Amino acid sequence: MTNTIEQVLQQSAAVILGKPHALRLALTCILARGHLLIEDLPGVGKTTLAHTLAKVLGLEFNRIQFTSDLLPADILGTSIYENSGQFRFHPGPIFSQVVLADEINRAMPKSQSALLEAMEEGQVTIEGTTRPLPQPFFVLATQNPLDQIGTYPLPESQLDRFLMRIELGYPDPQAERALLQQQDRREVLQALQAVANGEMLQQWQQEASKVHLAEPMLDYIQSILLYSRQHPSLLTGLSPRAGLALIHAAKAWALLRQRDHVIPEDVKAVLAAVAGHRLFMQHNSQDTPAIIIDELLHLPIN
Amino acid sequence: MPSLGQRISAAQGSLLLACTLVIMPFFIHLPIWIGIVSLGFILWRALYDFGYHTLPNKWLRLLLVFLSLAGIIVQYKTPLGRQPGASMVIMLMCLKLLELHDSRDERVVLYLGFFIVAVGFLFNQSLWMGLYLVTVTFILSLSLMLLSHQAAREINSFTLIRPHARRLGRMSLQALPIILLLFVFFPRLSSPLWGLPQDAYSASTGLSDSMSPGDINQLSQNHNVAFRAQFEAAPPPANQLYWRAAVLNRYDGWQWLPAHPRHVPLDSRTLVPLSPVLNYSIMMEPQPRNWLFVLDRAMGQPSFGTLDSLDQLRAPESIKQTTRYRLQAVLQYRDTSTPPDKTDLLLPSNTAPRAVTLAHEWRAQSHRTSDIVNRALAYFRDEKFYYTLQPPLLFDDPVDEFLFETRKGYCEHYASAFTVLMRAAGIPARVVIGYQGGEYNTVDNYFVVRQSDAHAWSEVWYPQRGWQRVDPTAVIPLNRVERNPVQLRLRPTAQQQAQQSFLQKWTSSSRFYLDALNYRWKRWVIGYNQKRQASLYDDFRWDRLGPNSLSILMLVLFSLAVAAILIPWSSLRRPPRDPVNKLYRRFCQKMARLGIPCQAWEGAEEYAQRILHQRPELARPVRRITWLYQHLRYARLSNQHNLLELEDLVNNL
Repeated sequence: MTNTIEQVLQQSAAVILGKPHALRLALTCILARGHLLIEDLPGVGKTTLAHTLAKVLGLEFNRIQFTSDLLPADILGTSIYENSGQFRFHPGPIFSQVVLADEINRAMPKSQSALLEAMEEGQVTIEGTTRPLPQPFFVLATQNPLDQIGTYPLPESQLDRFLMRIELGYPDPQAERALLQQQDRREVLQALQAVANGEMLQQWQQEASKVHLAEPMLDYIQSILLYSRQHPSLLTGLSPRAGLALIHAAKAWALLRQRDHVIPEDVKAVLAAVAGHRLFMQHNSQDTPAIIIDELLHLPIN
Repeated sequence: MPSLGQRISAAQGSLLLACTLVIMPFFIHLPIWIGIVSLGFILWRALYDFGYHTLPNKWLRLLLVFLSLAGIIVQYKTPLGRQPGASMVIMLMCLKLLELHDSRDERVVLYLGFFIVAVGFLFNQSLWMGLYLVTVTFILSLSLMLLSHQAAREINSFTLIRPHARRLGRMSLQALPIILLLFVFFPRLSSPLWGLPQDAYSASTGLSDSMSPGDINQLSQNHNVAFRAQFEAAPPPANQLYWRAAVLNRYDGWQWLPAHPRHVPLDSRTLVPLSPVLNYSIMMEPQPRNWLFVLDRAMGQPSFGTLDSLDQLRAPESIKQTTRYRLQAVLQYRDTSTPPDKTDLLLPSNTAPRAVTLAHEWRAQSHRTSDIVNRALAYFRDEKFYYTLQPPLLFDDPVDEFLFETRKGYCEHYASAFTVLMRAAGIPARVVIGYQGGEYNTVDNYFVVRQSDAHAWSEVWYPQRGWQRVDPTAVIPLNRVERNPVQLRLRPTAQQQAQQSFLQKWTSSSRFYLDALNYRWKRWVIGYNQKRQASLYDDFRWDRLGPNSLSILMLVLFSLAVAAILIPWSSLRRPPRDPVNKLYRRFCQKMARLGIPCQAWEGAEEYAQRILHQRPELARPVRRITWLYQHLRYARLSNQHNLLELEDLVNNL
């Protein structure tokens, strides 16, 4: 099993050049049954990342391009009157194991919230009928931080729905050179072979939830939560849900590291991705979330 | 067959064990049937717990209670007193085991158990009993703890005993300072509780207040300690130690009876010391008489009791508890202050006619007291007199039969015959009984004097020197002393000591150690009474402190008390140190000495990488230590073996 996970990472790394940490975090997010928000500039490989992961893990993949005129029905699906004289439900693109919600902040809040609700509940209710989403279900949303005109940035409270938020950033020169030299990414993607499948992924998710979390680790995580709550620059500290998210993510990270127990390093590795989008600064504060994260990373391990 | 733990719970087991141990000492002190019946009740309960038998119903229980009480009353004729009371509470506790309905009943049994432990001290206050009862108290408390732990009430809960015992041990240690404080400072009764019952010492024997042939050699097999004596300076040799108990000067032809002390004011006694005065203290064991023993002869004022004109020291009442007193003594003296009266010369008519004839012969040859005394001693030495612990029985006239026929006797025979001879020769003489010698404890430097050291000797009036001690037994040559294994053991000569095997030396020295331990227990624990408590306060010279220093002392004590109230205990408490963490901290300290200190925020793995970056040669131990630390602390691995390996690696780094 661990070998297969290693293979997933290796295969993906062959496509996503120079982003091993981001890749690992993305995979961690899937293993922890969470959803991922990627906030970055266009053209750094967000779509490729989503595509690659779906392909390597052997999952169905759908992409929804969010636009200002996107309606909830365009995401969830709709019933259409057919020749047979009956309404038949046409499932929307959300009915897929991996969904890439591209530029989520360009759609209006109503559509955003249709997606977020589906993410949260793992099912959709359309015209009074509740339909389960496929399992495993993983949403990878992207958000462009630069476009400010005509966008609806996700409210801070909604960001909580995502287990992690990561930034990809530019690749380092070496990786970028390789990327420039090589053939088209799409062809590489086409050539990619699935290493796992949905069932295996679900098994791994099971496995991740069973990773042992010892008492001292709980102390450590609680000290992080407590510190954030007492920090003068923060509007509110990390919520209990943030604490749970931290635990789930750390467990999945430990599994990726082929360990059956969580160590402080696992928490530190996922802390920025898990906590970064849950820290809300005081308006007059000089600090940034990055500074707070750095302080959290330097809390003493008991 | 299932093991014990699979049949009964830890709580049940400990309750049964505690009850059994509680009643054990009473097999010695109470009639045997009470112990056996009580044990029977416990056994009944055990059979029920094991599922072999049912418990008696209400009527049968009631019948058992009545039968037990009736048995006790038949035995003692009264329900009152120490022994009937102890019997009753023991039997009722064991009967209570047959009706345990809820945890309250179980607690009643245990509380009774604690009470019976205290009752045990009324019977025996030795160190060994103390140690035993402390153990029993521990088991009773453990039982109480287990009974209040729900999980310990289920079968297969014997594993819970160990953690509870550890916890109880910790609690007991925490209570120790309080125990000591209470022991030292708690107000004492002037006489201890165990002095109250009237039958406390009926079984113990000692010197009787009269002397007839065979009285003292009854004691020769009795090795109970009579008293212990400690000298302030170097002790005199044991053969010079004559411990005076009573003077007997009235002879009725068969036995010697105590003298009536005359009222001679103590100041007018003129005992002229001819040798250095010895200071010593005596620790008396309890005994039925009010006699106290003094080293022959006494000087000065005793710290306890009163000395009469015959140098007999008497306590106000019988000695109910170990009693310590101090006195001075002189071994050589001149004592002319209490001249003899006619009782000291009196012989019943027709007593020992042959002895009287012999004495008259001696008298005819010389009028000097010392000549006659020497003549008599020479007679004992030169004729075939034997010293034996099993003398032949004497019938009509003990003195004549002993002097001229059997010639085998114990000290009382010699003392009696010698005194009769002296009186017949017109020399005032009397018998003194007491103890001779003692066993020197080299561990704690004191003499142990046992009942088997009981002795009788004579005192003779010399016109110039006054009353002088003469011990006719001492002149019997060694080859005519019938060796008795007991005597041999008690008084080895130097030559014998040299010949003793290692084992003998070891046993005798361990005996000394045990006795020294017991002596200290008696002196410092049992003998710690109101008087000593008071003297403890007096010893601390409060008056030496001026008012200033006294007020400073009070201020310090007061602020300590305030601090104890204000500082919450939780703030003084440190988080419990996890052994794994402790070892890892030690590892970090060692690394810090190499210039790579661990940062507080650093995980073990990050730290290990940093160390290996700087000191790659440490790769093996550091990797293993990190692995072990992580697995012991964060994984489900809690293997003692791995902990030991971690300790080993860290220590050898």
